[in-house]
Amino acid sequence: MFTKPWKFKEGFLIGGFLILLGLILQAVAGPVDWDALAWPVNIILLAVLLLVIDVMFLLREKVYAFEWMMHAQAAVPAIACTLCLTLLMGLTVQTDEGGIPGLSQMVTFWPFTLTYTWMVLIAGLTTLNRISRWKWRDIPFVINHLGVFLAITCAALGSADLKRLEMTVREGVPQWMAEDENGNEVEPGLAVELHDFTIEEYPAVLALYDGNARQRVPDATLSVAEGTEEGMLGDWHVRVLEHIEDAAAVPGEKELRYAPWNEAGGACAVRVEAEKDGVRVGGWVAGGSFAFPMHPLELGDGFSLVMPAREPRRYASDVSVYTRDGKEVHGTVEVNKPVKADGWKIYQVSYDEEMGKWSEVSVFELVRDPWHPAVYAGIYLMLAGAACLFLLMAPKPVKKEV
Amino acid sequence: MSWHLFAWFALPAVLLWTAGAFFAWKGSRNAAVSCTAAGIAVFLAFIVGMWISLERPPLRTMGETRLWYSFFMPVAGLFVYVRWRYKWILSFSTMMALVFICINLFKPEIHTKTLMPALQSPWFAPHVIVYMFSYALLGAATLMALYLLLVRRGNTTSDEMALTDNLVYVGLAFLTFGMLFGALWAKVAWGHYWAWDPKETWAAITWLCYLLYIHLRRAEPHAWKQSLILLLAAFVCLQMCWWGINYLPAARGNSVHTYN
Repeated sequence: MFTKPWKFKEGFLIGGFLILLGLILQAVAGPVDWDALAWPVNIILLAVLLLVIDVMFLLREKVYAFEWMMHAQAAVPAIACTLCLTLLMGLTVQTDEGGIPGLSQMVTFWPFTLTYTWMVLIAGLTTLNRISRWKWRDIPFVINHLGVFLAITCAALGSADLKRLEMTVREGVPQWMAEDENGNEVEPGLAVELHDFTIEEYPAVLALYDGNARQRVPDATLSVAEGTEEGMLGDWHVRVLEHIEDAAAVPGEKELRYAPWNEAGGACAVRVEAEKDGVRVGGWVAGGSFAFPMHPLELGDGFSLVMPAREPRRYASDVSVYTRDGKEVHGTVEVNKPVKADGWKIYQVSYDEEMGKWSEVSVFELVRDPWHPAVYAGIYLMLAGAACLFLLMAPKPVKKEV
Repeated sequence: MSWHLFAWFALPAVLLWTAGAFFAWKGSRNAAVSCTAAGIAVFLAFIVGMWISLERPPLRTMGETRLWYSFFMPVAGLFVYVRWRYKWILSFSTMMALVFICINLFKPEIHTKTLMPALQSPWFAPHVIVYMFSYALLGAATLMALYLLLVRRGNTTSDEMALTDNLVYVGLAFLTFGMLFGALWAKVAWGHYWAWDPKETWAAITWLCYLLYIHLRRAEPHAWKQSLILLLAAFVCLQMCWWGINYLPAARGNSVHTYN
């Protein structure tokens, strides 16, 4: 043991030691407090890490362990230990609190943090070693390892400076306050005014509900976009006789009927005739809204025709953002299209779902991540490294047929 | 185009791929390449048709991702055949494609037109397509590992290990693309690039497995048996990441990657 040359065994012993050390730290100091790494602690830690790597590199000829760390012999046990901890994470339900101590909050579990640190330390040291013995053919190697080092280190250290706030805004009322993850009120230093919130929906669909099984019949849906005349729904042949996009329920002679409605709360309603094996059933089917309940059509034998809630195609908020120094940014926030203002990114998260497309409320997430450029530099290097892996690094092609 | 017509495209494609595999065995290189490419074109025609008629990329449901997998298997096979000339690779890829085509023929899943706003992004198609291509290559690497472990046993040649390495290198490159495209997309859609969502955790596990393989191969080139066994374990993790987490108690209901 620990006789030169070191192989995997020594690496696994170091990994095991780190996990043990992590368990002791977890017991003594409690979970990792990432918030304690907030600026400027994280930049100091990064400087210390780079310094440690530098010193290890300079002492590589004097200390054998540092020399060994620059080889795949050290990388294999380090990646294996990291993999084991990540595997444990994948097999355990992750919760904010409770569950299995440590394992259910893996991100703050010391052994997890230490094994990842060990892995990026090796990646960093290897990178430096290759850069010092510069050869052009090592470029893929360097960018792969540097990318992994940058992306993981900066993402972890920067997580303390990441701010995610939730802001609920009503139409016409500028909002200066937001809530952090713990529900505390925070002033992000900018205000958001919602001018208009809009939802575009997919066409209404009809579905078959099995009252005996208490669920919708799988795979049985029929889109009833305006202009649809007929179609098959399971074994039923459905004919659409009348289609009202925004309808209100009005009392009829025997039962409810539907009429056009131009105000808030109108729901899609269709008058249909369904036929199966010579049995014919007709009547109204309507989707619900905050103003009207859903209206199914009984088909007999426990089955009914229903119109489930319509799925949104797009929802967007037309907003103005005001900063403290008097700047005004106008834009449309929608899912997958955040708006940038004063170092924040504003994301569309939700709306008043009960009101649906008549919602006058929009819920945004405000995100500020000062370490984002450093992490992205790492990610872009990894992407370039992957391209090299594909184009250059595969071992020499085999010429003869096997 | 609709799923009812799938068999009319899938069967001719499979026949062409089988013919390609046959010609590869016989050593008729041009015929093998033309037949396989023609099969790929027929299959692609169906995918394009679906894309147009659904008015969105057919990438949302499990059935749709299997469609791409069956498409990329022969593409990966053809790539390997042209580059390294292994005459049996097209038989492998045809067989794998056929398995996934059969699942889609006999157990199709809901294929509605709707695409929720979170999926409406320019990242959607590259993220999933690149992942499916990588899964296809790593699937081929897994078959190779099985063949070397069970059939060849102790007689593995360095050429055969080199092919396995090649498949993993290219597969890992595309796996990295898929994962990082996902991270860049997540930043735009959800505000952060990595959130340790169960799907992300299993993507990291899968990625680390293949990373371990290439380091193990460098550190101990002769430990081929251990390396090949690791490759099988890696593919189990890949399956967990792809669809297994839908059944995993630790992940059920906790993932934002659920769209079916």
